[in-house]
Amino acid sequence: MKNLLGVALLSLLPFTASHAVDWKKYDGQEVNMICVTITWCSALEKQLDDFKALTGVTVNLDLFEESAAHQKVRTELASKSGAYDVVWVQANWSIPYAKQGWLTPLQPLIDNADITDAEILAFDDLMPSLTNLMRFEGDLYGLPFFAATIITYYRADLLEQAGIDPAQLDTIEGFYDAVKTLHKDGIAGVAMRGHPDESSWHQTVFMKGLGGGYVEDIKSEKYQPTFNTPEAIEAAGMYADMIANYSPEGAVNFKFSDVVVAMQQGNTAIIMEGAPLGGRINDPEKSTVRGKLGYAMVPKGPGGRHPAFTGHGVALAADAPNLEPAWLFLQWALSKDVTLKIALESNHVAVSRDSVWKDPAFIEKWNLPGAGGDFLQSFQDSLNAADPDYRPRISGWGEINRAYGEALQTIMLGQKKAETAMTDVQSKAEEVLKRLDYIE
Amino acid sequence: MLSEKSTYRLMSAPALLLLAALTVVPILLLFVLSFTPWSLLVPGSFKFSFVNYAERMISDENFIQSVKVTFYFIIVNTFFQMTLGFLIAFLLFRYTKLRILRPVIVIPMLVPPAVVGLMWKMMLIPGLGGIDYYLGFLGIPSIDWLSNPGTALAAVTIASVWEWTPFVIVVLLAGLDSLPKAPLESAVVDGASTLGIILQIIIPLLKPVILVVLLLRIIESLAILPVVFMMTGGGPARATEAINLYAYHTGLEYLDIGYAASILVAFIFILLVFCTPIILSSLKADYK
Repeated sequence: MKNLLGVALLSLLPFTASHAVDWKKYDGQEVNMICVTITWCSALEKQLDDFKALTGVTVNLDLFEESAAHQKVRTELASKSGAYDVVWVQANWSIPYAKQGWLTPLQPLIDNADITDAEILAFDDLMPSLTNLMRFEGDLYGLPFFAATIITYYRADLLEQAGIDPAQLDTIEGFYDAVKTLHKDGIAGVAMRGHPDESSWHQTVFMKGLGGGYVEDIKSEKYQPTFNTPEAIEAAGMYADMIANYSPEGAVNFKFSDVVVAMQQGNTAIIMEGAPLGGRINDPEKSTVRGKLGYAMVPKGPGGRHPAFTGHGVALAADAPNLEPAWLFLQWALSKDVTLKIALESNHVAVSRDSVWKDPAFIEKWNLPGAGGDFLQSFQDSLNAADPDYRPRISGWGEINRAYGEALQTIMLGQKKAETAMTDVQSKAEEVLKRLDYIE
Repeated sequence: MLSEKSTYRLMSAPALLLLAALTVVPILLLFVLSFTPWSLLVPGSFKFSFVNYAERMISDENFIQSVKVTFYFIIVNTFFQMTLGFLIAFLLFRYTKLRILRPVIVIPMLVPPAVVGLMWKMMLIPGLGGIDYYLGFLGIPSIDWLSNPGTALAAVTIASVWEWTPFVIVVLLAGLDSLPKAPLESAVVDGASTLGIILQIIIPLLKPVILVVLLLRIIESLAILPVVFMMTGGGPARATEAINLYAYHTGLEYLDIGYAASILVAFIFILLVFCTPIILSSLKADYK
């Protein structure tokens, strides 16, 4: 016990030894934080005593399931209730929140040497692709803790039995063919997300890969939707076909956790799923496929290769009642030491710091066993190739995303043809974007 | 010195004011909001407009779908709850030995609705939840209940009937127990059939109680949100999304507050359409 205490105190040394900032300044105060039950936040909860020992500040962390967390964050921010100082923000939402003036811009805090420890914050070490997701009109509105993308996980043994070269999974056409071939004898060819809230996260790989897109040109802010192009229709039909005919039972409603379980149980040949879930998919206690998996980037098509990309971050509410201690907390929670500690102690692999990606202890832990491809390499290559505008980062996206997911579901259920469903989404998207003043 | 009537009024005023603050004021605010296109995503959108009713609602397929689902829940769920509830209550009334089952019967009602939803969702998972295992004995193949629009709606109905039939049983049984014994006994002596007794004597005598239970069941069927939320989230393809869930998604997920308010005004309207005749006839029954 004494040893443990010693280690704990030692781990605080880098903070106490650093200069200028008085970490004890807000001793006795409280900081309120809301987050989603994502691995990082759940693991952070276990570290809070360290922060209390360092600063004397108590952090009250409320964790909610994703959709509940979204709504709670929005209602609290919109009503300026002051209930939370620190809020979880999924990267796509940082822009609409910032636009409403719901978040505190961070640059003035970063520039204030009295409450910012540049060494602990090590801002340049945070992955720039992620911090850029948290910017709106040049201002920074959050610090990222999570870098999300998706990769292909395949059962090397099943592919070999079927005589399929894993290299075939590198193209959309080859992927689709492999899925059809592998779907037999109680083994599902593929598992991906079919639930309307989540399907676009995967389906965009096919839509953009086949040359389609969501809007005319996001980079030059041309937001005319393009759901009814031949490429988008083809991709929707293909995705729905895979979910309806080559997936486990119930795939129409699969969320990420269902896909993970489908692979863990050993009766699915290929899944396309979040790289951050690699640890869970290979969970030594729950997974029957640990050691049998190969890893690859998502397939490419005529329109290129489009790994998914988003981030999760933490932001400070506008009018946060405990702004300064909350800012100290953010620096500490995102520091290299805490990030590494969490990555080593939990299933959190999607770290947001370059230095942690290169850390030998991190690499050792996260070099997941495999039978083809390299997990960490596929993860990093995907992050490097990913586009921040994988899906449009606009205010009305939540509503369009749901309409799109539901349209895909109607194709899966055989209620509508791909063309009709996509034409319907097109008009819904036009209606939303007009209402929100994105298009005329 | 105040008259007796004025004293009553004065003394009930605080309670009435509180009630008004908690019911009338929010409903009035809802009406006001429903005439704005206010969205938290569009700064400056808080202004007066008829756009929600005049343009959006009438052309909104999702709204029309949600109205259909709401009508389905009101009619089908209430029908099964009332019919089953009455039959079981009558059995318990007729065969008093069965009353030993009463404590077991009320259990579903005591489970929080969100838990009911979660429980049924888990029991309906194909290959895992157990229900398809037992259905297998009857030769019914494994069905993925919640992934199919038709079966998902049926599954929600089953869960809701399971949860709320006991309420109907308990109240109707109390009503049956309080019926005057004389007409029933003379009917038996005159050799009337059981069906005849139910239709000619029990139902007319029990009408005030039945109407109140019916009213409460319709209101509850409208407020089915937690069970649906946990079981299907309104899916698949909006097959189980009732109006209140649609308003919830619109207001709290898409932050489209004004339109969500107008959806809820429509919800109140439907509630009144269904409930007013029942309230009126229940008042009539009381005065008789």
